[in-house]
Amino acid sequence: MSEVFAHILTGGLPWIVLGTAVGIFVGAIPGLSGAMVISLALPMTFFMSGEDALLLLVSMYIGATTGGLISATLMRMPGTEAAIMTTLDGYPMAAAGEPARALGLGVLASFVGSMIAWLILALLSPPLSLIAVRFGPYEIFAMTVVALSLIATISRGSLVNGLLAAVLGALVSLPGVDPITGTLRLTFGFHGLDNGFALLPVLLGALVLSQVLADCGDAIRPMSATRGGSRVVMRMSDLARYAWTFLRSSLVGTWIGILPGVGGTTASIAAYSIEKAVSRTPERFGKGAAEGIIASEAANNSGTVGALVPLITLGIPGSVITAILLGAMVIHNLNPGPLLFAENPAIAYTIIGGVLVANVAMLAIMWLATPLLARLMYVNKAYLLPPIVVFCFIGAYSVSSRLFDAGVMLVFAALGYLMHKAKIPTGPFIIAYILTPMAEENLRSGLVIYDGSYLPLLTRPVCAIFLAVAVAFIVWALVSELRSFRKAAA
Amino acid sequence: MTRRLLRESTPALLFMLVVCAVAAAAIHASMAIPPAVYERIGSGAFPMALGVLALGLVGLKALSFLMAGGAQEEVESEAGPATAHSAAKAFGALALITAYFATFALPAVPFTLATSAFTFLMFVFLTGERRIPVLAAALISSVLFAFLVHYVFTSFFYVDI
Repeated sequence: MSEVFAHILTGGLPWIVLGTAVGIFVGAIPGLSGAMVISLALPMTFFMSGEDALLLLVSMYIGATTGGLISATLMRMPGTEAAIMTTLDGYPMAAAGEPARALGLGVLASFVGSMIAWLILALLSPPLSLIAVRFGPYEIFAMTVVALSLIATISRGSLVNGLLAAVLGALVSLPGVDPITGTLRLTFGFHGLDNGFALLPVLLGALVLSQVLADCGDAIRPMSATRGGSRVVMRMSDLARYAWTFLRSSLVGTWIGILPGVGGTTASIAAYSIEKAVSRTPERFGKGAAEGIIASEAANNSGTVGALVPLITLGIPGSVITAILLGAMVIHNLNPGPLLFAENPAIAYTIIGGVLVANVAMLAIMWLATPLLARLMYVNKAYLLPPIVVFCFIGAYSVSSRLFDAGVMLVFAALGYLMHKAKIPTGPFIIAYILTPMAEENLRSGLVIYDGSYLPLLTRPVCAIFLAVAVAFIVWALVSELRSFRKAAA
Repeated sequence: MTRRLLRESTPALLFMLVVCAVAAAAIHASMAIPPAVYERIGSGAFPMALGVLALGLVGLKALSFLMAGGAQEEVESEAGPATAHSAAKAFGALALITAYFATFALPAVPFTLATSAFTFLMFVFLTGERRIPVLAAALISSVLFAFLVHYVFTSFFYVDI
């Protein structure tokens, strides 16, 4: 173990710093994903030792997750899908004259979330993986229902508007190939819709281009009107002040990250929604609440590290990136799988140690870069909006090199702008758009497995608990809505 | 409901229309999907259920809208010629962006030319700048930006733009 760490801190350190920096850069640009950069870097690792190759790739993975925070906070443009929820509070805080603080909170949350997940990775990997792989489709469906039910809690104060946005998001997620039968549905004869609306064009349109249109409508001025905001990047006191938020969100993120096929985006949605649900001042969320930024970033980073748990212990990739990492291990003859710890402990500990050092490198790089990045908020919008549109176009186009996706982005930009003007929240739209396919696929898979019976949803303990939690969230939201309605009437 | 209230609630009404249209399309398309053979609910169940739910929610929203005598929240902030000017500016930007995207359908127009022209025109549209030195600087920056982006994305990330 000590030899492994010695190697990481001597020979491996340059690869970690390089990988983290490249990952952060790529993560900040929409359309360039961690999976893309790791795939591109994979051939370059052929001349490297297996340990160094994994250090480079794992560092890119860590950096890319954090990089999404930068554009999400400063431009309301999630560089990675997992940073979607960060836009909800990061951008309003930055636009209110606190860009350095918004970035600092995000970086601190990313670091703390990753460290908590790292502790779990280092100490509890085998037992957690064994529990996670026992989750069947009904369990994942029930968990998705919990996440969807949280829409009701985050829409408090405008429940019907939130639900309308969510149902629209769910509907637009359905066209394309049916997840169970493989047949086409809701394509209306457009071949462009055969694979449905791709996620990135929808996100870029509804969140970024719609904001660009709204900004164009405003009088052009620097993105942040107030320059006098705090220049403090991170405060150690935040650790104590938001300790429960850090802990809750990191644990939620780690657990969801461990579940195969669920991912960091769901982790950040769930953590954000839980944080809003338990907050005594939920009305601050969406307007620059520190807890919103922390929840999203702690969860998506801990989810990233959590996804390494089944990879290392069982050789099961839970996401595209971990699948590429698995491929890298195979290419370097490292025999991933349940026997990795027994047959090749140096590799397992290299990944675990690499995650730790990459997190420290990420913190250092972001700490140094944040004050410079924060200045972007003071640049006149007229200089920033045209390049943002260009990056959006490339981001949407790069999904599958089709102009159709750029067109889809435009349509969703118009829809997002309309929602902005009608004061309909975009958060529920995006959440439902992401989670509905997962819910449908797992419900229908469960029905196939259990001969069309819904009963296991109530008899399987994990399902029953999740569904009870979902019902509790919905009842809570309805009661809160009713109370606020009565208050307003009185 | 007065004409003024209706005008000022246009975004909310338009949004409800969009939801209705999408829901109706989903219901119509799901009715054409053959019933499931090997599974319990089939391909059409989710679109049908969500379509009906969407229409129900639109009905609920319309009801609350009528009971409240118009969208009060919209009325409070969205009024006057400033809003019309803001919407016109946003639509102008949307037209410019659409034109930029449309140029890529023409194989003869290279990415660098379209991007240079778009970033320059968008800058002029947003600022209303007329001074020649500033415009020259903006044009040079636009061209440099377009070539830099093209170089980075094609050479390093193999994006075919």
